[in-house]
Amino acid sequence: MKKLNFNEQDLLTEIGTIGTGHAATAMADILGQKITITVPNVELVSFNRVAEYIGAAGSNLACIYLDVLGDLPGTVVVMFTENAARRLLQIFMPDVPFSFLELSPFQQSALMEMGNILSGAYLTALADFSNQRMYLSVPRLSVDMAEASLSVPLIKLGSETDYALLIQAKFFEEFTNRGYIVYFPNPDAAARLIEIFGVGSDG
Amino acid sequence: MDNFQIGMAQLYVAKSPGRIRSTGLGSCIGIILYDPFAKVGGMAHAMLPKHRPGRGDNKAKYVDTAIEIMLEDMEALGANRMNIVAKLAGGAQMFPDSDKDSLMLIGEKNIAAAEEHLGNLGIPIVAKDVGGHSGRTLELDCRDGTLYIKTVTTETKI
Repeated sequence: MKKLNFNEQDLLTEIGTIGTGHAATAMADILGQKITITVPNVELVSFNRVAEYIGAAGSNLACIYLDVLGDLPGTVVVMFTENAARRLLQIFMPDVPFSFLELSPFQQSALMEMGNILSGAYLTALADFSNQRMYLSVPRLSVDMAEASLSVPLIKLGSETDYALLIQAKFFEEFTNRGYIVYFPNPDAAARLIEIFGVGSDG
Repeated sequence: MDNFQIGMAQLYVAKSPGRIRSTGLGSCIGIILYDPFAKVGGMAHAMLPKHRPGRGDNKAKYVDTAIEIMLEDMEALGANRMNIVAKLAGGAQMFPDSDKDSLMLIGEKNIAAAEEHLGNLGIPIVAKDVGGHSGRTLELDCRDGTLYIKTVTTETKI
């Protein structure tokens, strides 16, 4: 699989839209305000370009990693900028001082739970829409360079392929309060997604 | 001065006064080779320990094949294999709360693979900054082989 055709890209974008719409609603419920979410990008990207493609290159981010198990295995990564993490934690625990690189265990748990809720909403929508079973592992957190955290899902793909299929969207509360949600289906799961929705590879 | 930026699953070799940089190594391993006489250096940002055929064509992705390619490319730039020394950086465990998951230990496997492969080739490892839980940004100065390493909180050189 080297290049997506137009129909495949369109289909996966639609799938991503459903998922991110649900994730945005879940986040808006928690924050008590409207969340803007971008139309997802779907692309097949070589490993060295993934962080740049997501728009996260060179940034320090809080990255929540979850394995996706079931019929469409892969990885989901939810990432928050420092400002987004600060804003979220102020809602949960307003009196606790915030230091992005030295979060307390409670603050780490809160961010992981946020990643859990967002990716849960995202994948439930996708599982319902495609009538597939999908489960999430427990969340794990790393606050570090985006590229370094992304190495883990990419290494997982790397044993099978040279390219990552990524279905990703950004969500905003304000411009600086930015988050990313990215689903990396394994190569077999990507092929299955396309097959389920009946789009032939020759369009 | 020439500056080269490489990303995940890429490698590059350069002569003095070139600099080779790679941003945000996590569990990947940075393998640095340097010939101090020819002043030729190479850097690979390898993801996995060992090449297995049929799982993608990019040989820079694997520790063993990346080292082989760098050695050949460095020789083409005038390096002598007998003079080449190695430095290693990277191989962190980025998500620490997960000691039972073998994927999360891939950093350690990458470090071990690089040490083993370099050992088999008789290439001495003169310095390393590996493991831990932080990503690293690397920059190799091909004038003298110094490797500059930054994490989100620290800066060092080896």
